[in-house]
Amino acid sequence: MDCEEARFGLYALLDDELEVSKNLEILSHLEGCPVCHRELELDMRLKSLVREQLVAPVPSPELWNRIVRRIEQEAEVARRPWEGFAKWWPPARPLRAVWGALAIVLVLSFSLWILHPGQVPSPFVEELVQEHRGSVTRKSGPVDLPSTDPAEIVRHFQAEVPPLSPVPLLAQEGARLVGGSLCHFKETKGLRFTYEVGPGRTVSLFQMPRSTRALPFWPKLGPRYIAQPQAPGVLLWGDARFLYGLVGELPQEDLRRLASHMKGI
Amino acid sequence: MRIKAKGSGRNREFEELTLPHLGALYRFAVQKVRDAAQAEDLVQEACLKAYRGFDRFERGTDAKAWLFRILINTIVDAQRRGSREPTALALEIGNVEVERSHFLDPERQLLAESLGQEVQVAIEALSQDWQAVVLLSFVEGFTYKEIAKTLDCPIGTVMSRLYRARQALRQRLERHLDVDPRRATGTGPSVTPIELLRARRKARGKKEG
Ligand SMILES: [Zn+2]
Repeated sequence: MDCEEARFGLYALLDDELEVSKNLEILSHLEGCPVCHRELELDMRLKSLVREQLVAPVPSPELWNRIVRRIEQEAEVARRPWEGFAKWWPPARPLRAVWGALAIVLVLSFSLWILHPGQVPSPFVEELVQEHRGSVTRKSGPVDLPSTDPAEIVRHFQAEVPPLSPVPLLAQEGARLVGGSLCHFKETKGLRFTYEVGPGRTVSLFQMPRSTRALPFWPKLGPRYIAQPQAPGVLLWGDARFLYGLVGELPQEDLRRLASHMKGI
Repeated sequence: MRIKAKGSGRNREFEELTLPHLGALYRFAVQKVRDAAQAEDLVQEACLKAYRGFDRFERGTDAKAWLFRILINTIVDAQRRGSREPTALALEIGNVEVERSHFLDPERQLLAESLGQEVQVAIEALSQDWQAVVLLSFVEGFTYKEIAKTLDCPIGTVMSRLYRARQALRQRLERHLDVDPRRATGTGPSVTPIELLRARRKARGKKEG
């Protein structure tokens, strides 16, 4: 073993990290080599110097108790969240402003969440689905006005629903208009056009003005498919004036293809 | 004081694993942040994190390495959060009062009042990685394997960091490392490093049978 190799293992030897055979090899080299020996002495001295001279502070005896209290606090709040809350309520005077601000932020973020362009409140979707289901209970659908002419349907309801032009058309893909109905979505009135897309299969096309508080607001909405387990597929989209919804027991691709033939998309 | 929160078996286990290392954790934190109160806060935070993640701790593995790893991450996070340059902050460790902004100042080093302070300054001057390795190895007596686990790096990295840190420390503390001249003339203490190592090896050999 030469000096270079011996030096390499020197620290590990000092730290007691070498296997016995290597250990012996280095030791026997050190005995015959004063240079490496001095190197070892310097390292030993360094290690003990650092150990001796570094101030070894001890934590205050209270540290562990503080940790235990924090752990218990946390476990308590996790178990009974209202108790953690109760500690802060009713708020002390300086806290009142904080709570007030927090409440405003909460209300704001909730309304933003409601109005967020991408969000469609599920009650609205449920209403569409209910309306659609009502239309497929009978073979021809419980339509208010059986008709194959969309313009006629719009004219028929124009006293109750503001002019719904452009009238949606769904003539391609073998879809056949069978009639139209008046729908209520909270305070908003809209029309439902019922189409047959195959033997015993109908698709409902909803159209309603979008200037309303009750309906979800979204700016320029491209077709948005709302997947629903165990329920008909719902495809929503909108333009400057109207919201459209296409509902039917069809795969997403088919609903999209049908919608692609319509005006306003 | 015992943890009285729900799940007494789990709490007992956590206590038994953590409490024995509390002093070492604190010592390490003080060395890293140079502030007693802040060190206690950091240890407290680390213990809380450990308690939260106790279910993920693999039973039977090294609790010491696990706890130190959490502490080191906590310290790194805190340092990232706080300003990177805590200026002229008066720090008190034991009776030694040092200003952090002067830690790396060579003049200050020359004026270091005590040997202890000089060692402290030399350790402070090391990079964070080297510092951690030196503290864990020299002060806490971690094995290379334990250090590797704690710092989540290969043993080879631990060895090379330790090697370089030692070189740097030796340069800085050179004048205090002079071997006792009496020993060089053969009249010094009778136990030489080699004898010490041989004795240690012998004792180990006996233990291993
Ligand atoms: Zn040699």
